[in-house]
Amino acid sequence: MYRLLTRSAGSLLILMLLGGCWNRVEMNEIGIISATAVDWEKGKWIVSYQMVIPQAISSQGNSAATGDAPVNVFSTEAESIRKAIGDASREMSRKLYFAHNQIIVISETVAKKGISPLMEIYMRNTDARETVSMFIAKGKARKLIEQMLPVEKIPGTAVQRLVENEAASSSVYPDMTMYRILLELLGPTQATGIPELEISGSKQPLSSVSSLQNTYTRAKIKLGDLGVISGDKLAGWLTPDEAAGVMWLSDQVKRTTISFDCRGQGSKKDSSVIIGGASTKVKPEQRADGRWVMNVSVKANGTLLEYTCPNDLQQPGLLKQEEQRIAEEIKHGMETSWKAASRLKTDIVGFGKAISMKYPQQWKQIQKDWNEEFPETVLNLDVKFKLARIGFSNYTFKEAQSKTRK
Amino acid sequence: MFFNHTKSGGLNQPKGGSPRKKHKEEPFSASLKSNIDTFTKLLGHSSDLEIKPFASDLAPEITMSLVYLSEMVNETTLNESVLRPLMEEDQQAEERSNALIHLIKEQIIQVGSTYCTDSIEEAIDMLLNGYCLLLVQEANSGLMINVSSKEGRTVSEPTTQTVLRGPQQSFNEILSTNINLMRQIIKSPDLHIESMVVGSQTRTQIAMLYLNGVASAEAVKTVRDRLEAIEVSGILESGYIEALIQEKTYTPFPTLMNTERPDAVAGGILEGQIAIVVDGTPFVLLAPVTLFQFFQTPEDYYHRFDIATFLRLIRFVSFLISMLLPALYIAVTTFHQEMLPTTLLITLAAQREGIPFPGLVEALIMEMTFEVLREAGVRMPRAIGPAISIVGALVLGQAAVDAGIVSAGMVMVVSFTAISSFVIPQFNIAISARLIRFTFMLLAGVFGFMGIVAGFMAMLIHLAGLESFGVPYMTPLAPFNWSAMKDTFIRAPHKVLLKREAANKINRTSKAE
Repeated sequence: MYRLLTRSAGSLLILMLLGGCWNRVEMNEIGIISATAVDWEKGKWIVSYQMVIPQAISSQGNSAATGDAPVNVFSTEAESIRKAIGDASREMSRKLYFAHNQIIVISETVAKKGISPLMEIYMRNTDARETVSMFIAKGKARKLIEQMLPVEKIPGTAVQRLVENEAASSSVYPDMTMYRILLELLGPTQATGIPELEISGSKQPLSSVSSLQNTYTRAKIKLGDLGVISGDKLAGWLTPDEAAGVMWLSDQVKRTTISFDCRGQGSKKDSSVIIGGASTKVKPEQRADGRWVMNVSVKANGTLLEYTCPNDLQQPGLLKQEEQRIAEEIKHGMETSWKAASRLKTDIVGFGKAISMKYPQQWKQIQKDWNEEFPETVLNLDVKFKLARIGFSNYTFKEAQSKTRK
Repeated sequence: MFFNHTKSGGLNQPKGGSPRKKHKEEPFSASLKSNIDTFTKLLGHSSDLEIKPFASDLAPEITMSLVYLSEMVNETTLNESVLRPLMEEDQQAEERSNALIHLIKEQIIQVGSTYCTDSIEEAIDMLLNGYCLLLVQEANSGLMINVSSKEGRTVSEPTTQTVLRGPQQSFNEILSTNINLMRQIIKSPDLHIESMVVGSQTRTQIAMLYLNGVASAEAVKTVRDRLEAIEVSGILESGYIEALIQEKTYTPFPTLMNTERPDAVAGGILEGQIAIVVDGTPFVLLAPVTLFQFFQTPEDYYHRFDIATFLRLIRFVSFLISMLLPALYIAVTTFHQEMLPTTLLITLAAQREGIPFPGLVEALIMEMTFEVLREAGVRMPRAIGPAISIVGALVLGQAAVDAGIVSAGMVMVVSFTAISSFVIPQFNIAISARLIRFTFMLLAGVFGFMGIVAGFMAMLIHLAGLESFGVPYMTPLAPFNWSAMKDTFIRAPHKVLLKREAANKINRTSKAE
């Protein structure tokens, strides 16, 4: 017993010495990557990294005052993505550390070529996190991670927060993390949408710290269209308006603002309502002639944000009428995006998923040609909107003013 | 100071302990002179040995002698209560030798605690305890009279276990005072006190206190047996006893509690614990004890229950912090950077820029610095205190960071760990946490979280295996006892605790039957 103990203790000690502290990495040996961009040019992958320079960001010490750039962007290229990342060790003094990589931007060329090599890396590697948000850039992807953002210190983190904020407050684009993309591309319909990241304003990126000394920024990062991925390739783009309907159809709306016209069809949409809660149910049904009917029922409620019509909201029946109009608006949005998705022949609204869950047998037969069949589907929309609150005022401001005049 | 031991009845004739090996059991001889010679020889002609021959009117023709150690006795008591009555007695007694001694014992001496002995061995013991010995010509026994004077502090405020609210009394070095304090709190005939002598040279008196019927008879027997089995030349503090009677020697966790607070001891005794009071130290031992009792203070029961619960939870958290925080910090910063929020990672990374050591070494440097400062703080003369704290604050604080030897985050972690370790009311478990901390730090530095988890598992297994006088150390968590939970991590209101006490009482009586 004693011998066993000493032996195991001894071997453990030797093990500890041999292990050399195993996979220990000190924090001043790692280069923290906050954003990655992938481009494809002349038969080679170009991977760009946005590396954080901690001294410039930390409030500790004097370096914060010197105005060093908080990040450094550099690229490596090779025939494969992973090779390019490996090559980075030839030009960087630190080990690239991807666990805190917040966003990955791919160029349109990469998206058109197919994103499977990238997916492959994320499925295989431990240091690559699936919580990374993915974006497509219409031009060079590297340009986007060179861009500085006002207020924020680390652009990569800032962009991630931007899309999170967007998903929570206006629900036009989903926050497409690598995990969700993988899930949807491996799901029954094998289609998904990835938002576009674009530089608006001046086309030159804001890449120097001194440019932040102005009170305005010439170029801004913002979310643009929604790139539709079918299989692993970019099938086309949806405009923000079209993208919004996708969110409704696929039950992803958390909070969003909807503009409507209180006077009737065709006039200016100058009143708006904020959606507080919404749920969408999709019930697929096969008609006798073999075509699929999608019964989409939406239930939503919201609060009146602004109301420009001189109507008295206390009037009976009026709220019903307005609710009807808002419901129409939502319906219209869904139809628009449905048309757009049909045009691209890509089921990013997840109808295929609904069918596969309810009719797994039939789904097996139609699965192969689904993208062809998908535009043939009949959409049966039913929207129920409830105006939960009208805000603090019963009258419009104008009306209230005229009342005081009396 | 004179204590006439009436309150601590059993103390007068302590039994047990290892026999004195230097001289064998010797009876008194009938000759006064030879007896006196024996004593002088055995006590090595010590200068404080007084042998006072005198003649009493009681029996003028019989020579008597008083033998005592002058530094150990109270001269006033000796003169007033022993010598004067003996000298001034005018009745003429017929008795001689042993009968005379009994007469003196019963009628003359005005001291409460007296007894006859015929063993020189015992007589010497009692002489060394401050008794005086009356020898009578022709008698083959001697009369021991308690005139001892013991030097000691008065009962003062506790210094190591202070409370905001609660009695401000602490034990002192004198056994009889300590027992007196206990009797003052628990005025019950069920409070049994067994006393014995331990240590062949120091002949230290110890007393075992327990509440008869509440303390488990088994535990009482175990404690008694173990105390009686002690064979050691000297006991200078209760720490010796603790080390000699605990179950497992090789464990960082204490299996006996020590306290200088009478109310804490009383609380323990009322819950069935056994207290061991050792002469010469204010620290009283309590056994059996479980891990969770080290996080309780008497104050818990004086505050309102919600506040007491909060404070107790804080203590548990502090214990974990003081054990694990540096290890977690090392593991996170050297192995698991992905666990940190990005902003925090960058801040920490910026601090670590330019630090020449790996995280583990950095932490060890700071921890060792702190331990050295703490030890210096305890050992140094009081007057140097402020100097040390200033140097300490500077070394531990800004200077180490500015010099680029350690990062600011590490200083914070170490300081917080240090402060957390002072939250735990029992010093001896706080110190085990400090010791274990280094193990965890090494494990974290080599294996990261895996090391910490493995270490923690090993610690839990060890804890679960520990016993304190037959009681599993992790009670009431393992074995699990739901009703005891009311007073383990939380402190339920007294009303609820009373219900538990009643339930326990029923259990106990049904077991006894």
